[in-house]
Amino acid sequence: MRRIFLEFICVVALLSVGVVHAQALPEPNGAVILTVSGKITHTNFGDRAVFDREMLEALEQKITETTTPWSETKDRYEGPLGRALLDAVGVEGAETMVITALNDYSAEVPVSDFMQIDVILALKHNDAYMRVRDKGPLFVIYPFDDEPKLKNELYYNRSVWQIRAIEFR
Amino acid sequence: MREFGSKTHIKHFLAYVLNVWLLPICAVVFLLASLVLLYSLHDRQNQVLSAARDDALWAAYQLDRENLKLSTLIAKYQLDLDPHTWDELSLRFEILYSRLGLLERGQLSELFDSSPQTRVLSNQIVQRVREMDAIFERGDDYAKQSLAQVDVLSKDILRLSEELVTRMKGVSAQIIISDRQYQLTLYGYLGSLVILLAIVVSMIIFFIIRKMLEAKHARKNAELLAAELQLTAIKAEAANNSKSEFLATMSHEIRTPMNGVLGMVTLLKETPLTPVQSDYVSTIYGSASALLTILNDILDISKLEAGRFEIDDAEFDLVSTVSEVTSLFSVAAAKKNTRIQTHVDEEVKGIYRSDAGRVRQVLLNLVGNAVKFTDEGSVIVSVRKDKLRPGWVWFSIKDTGLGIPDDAKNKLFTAFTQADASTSRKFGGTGLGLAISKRIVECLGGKIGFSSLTGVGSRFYFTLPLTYVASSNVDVSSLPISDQMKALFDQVLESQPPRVLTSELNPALNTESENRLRVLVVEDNKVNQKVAIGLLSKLDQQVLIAENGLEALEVLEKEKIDLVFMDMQMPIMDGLAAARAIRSSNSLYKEVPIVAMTANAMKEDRDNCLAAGMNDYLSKPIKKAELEQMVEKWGQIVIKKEST
Repeated sequence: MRRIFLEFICVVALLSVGVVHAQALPEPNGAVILTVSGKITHTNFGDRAVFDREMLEALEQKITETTTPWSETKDRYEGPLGRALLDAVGVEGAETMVITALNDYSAEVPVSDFMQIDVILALKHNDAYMRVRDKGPLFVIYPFDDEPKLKNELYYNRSVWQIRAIEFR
Repeated sequence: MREFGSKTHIKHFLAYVLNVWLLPICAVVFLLASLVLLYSLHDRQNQVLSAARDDALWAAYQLDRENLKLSTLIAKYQLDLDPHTWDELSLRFEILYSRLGLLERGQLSELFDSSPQTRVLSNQIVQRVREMDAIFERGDDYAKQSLAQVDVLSKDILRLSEELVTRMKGVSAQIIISDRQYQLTLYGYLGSLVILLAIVVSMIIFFIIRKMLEAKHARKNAELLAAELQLTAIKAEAANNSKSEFLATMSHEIRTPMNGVLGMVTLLKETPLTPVQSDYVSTIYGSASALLTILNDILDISKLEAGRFEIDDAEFDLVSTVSEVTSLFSVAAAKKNTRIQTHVDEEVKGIYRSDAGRVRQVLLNLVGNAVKFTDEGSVIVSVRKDKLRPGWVWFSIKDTGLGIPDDAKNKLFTAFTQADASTSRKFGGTGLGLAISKRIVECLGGKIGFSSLTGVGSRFYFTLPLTYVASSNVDVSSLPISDQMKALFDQVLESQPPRVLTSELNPALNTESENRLRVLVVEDNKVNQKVAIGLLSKLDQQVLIAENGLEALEVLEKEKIDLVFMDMQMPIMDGLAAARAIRSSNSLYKEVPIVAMTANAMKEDRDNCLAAGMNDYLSKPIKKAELEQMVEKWGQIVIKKEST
């Protein structure tokens, strides 16, 4: 009885993997700006998922207007929702992601942040694409003004800029 | 003076405010201050700043690190001239450039202003990065050629950023220290406030508890006091009651010997006397009568106060009652050149039911007073319907006498008070008349009052609820003054000499008279015996004496008796027992008329007499007129009167 149940579980798991693979990621056309690795099911470059700007803009977008400790004004940030990225790469069984910047600075961020909060990977700052010198190409933006409880060091440290890679652990 | 007053007023007000409100105000102020402090401690802005402080140090360090990486790549490219190395080098420069924003803008940049050195350093770094940027701006080829220049700049920045990191570390430590100091100060304040607050609140609680205890104590005291007062009131009432009882008993006891004195003096007057002796006897009689009046008054008021007041219900004619009273005083008034006028409204004339004797007593008191205090003037007695109370009769006695001084008006109806002591000396009397009248009127359910103007006169009035029985057809003018009224009159006007009947002094001379009765007097008191013998002899009656009830029965067995006067309290057999024995016997004397002689003028006693089979009763002390009436009534004879 128990065995039959286990077999059933395995079949379901295999089927779901098949379904996931069916939604394979497209290949990037332009320069790769983000590399995703770790516990993901959707890949397009070996065991990794790589994204150019076009692919990122194809994900669900969101505009967040907020102040940050690094800017004096309330600015407008735009980019894909963290949640949309999780869906796109098919995150499975990961609780933490390590976000790494161009300068090799990295921060550990709980996956639940992307699930529960409208975090975006901002591509644009005040309607202009961010260059590296403007903290581009990607900047993790939490909606600080909408949820004031986020205004503390914990979330400031998770607000990584000049993102290069994300690894799900 | 007024200013001073207002100043003290303000002072008092301030003292009040301080006493009552100081503690609560302090508590509120301390509480608010604590809240403000707490708020500052938890100020989010403050936290953001301290967060930024750490980030500033971090930013300086990052800048230093990025520049170091750039410098390394420059050295590497100078060696290998690899285009990949160049790409990486360009990226590193971009990253380095991105750090400038942190030095120039935002909350972090403010922290680089915290000391002049750090600002100078950061400005120099910014300047050098811009110089590098100018080289990179002109294209990769130019940049590659000018790489040595870039290298110099990078080395410069390396030196500057190292110093900035060190400086920022110092600044950060300073900020941390001052922050901590500030926080410690705030915590210190907060601690002090909490302690103050605790003290104030404890004081408030202490005062509240004290107030509660005081209130409890006061309530207890009030309860004790109330209980004490109640006890005192009960005691006072008891004392007053026992006083009234005492007075009633005493006056009753004194009245018995007074009866003897009066009786004996009456007899003495009938004996041949010298003019001087006659004068002395008259004086003794006057004094004794006056004393008796006083005793009667005291007995009356004592009984009224002791609540032993009985209301007799009898029919009486209003007009004749009033006329009887006024005509009693006409002689006395005429002597003082005072006219008494009587006016009874047609509407109120008739027969009424009430305590006739008491109504008469009140009228006698008021009219007597009016005559007594009026010299040469008039006394007007008027009776009419009470306009305010249907079924009530209004009596008014108006005089043109002295009037009543204002200060005496309040205690006029109080016992033992006269308008003033000198009046008492001049006019005599106990001053009980009005007090008795007031109580009688109140007992009869009526009201009594007066109005007076000194030197002009007084008007006394009383109004009573009288039950109308029938219309009257008595002719007032021809109404004789009854003997009973005369007796009462004697009591009111002490100065009035008693009416003296002149009759044969020796009863033996008239033994053959048809009007002669054999009267048995049952009396144990020797003096009373003498009085009875004397009075009856004067009425020309034959008198037999028995010492007690048993003796009386023996006499009745032997002699033919026409009339019995029976004392109530006697040894061996008392009056009531004797009367019952007579009535229940099967003898000839069974129907003999018996008249009780009782010192107890209470209605109850009279009822007892009648219940025992007696026919009538006489109040002691015995008045000649009353005795005469009884003899005429029950002996069915007419006594020959030879008035003076």
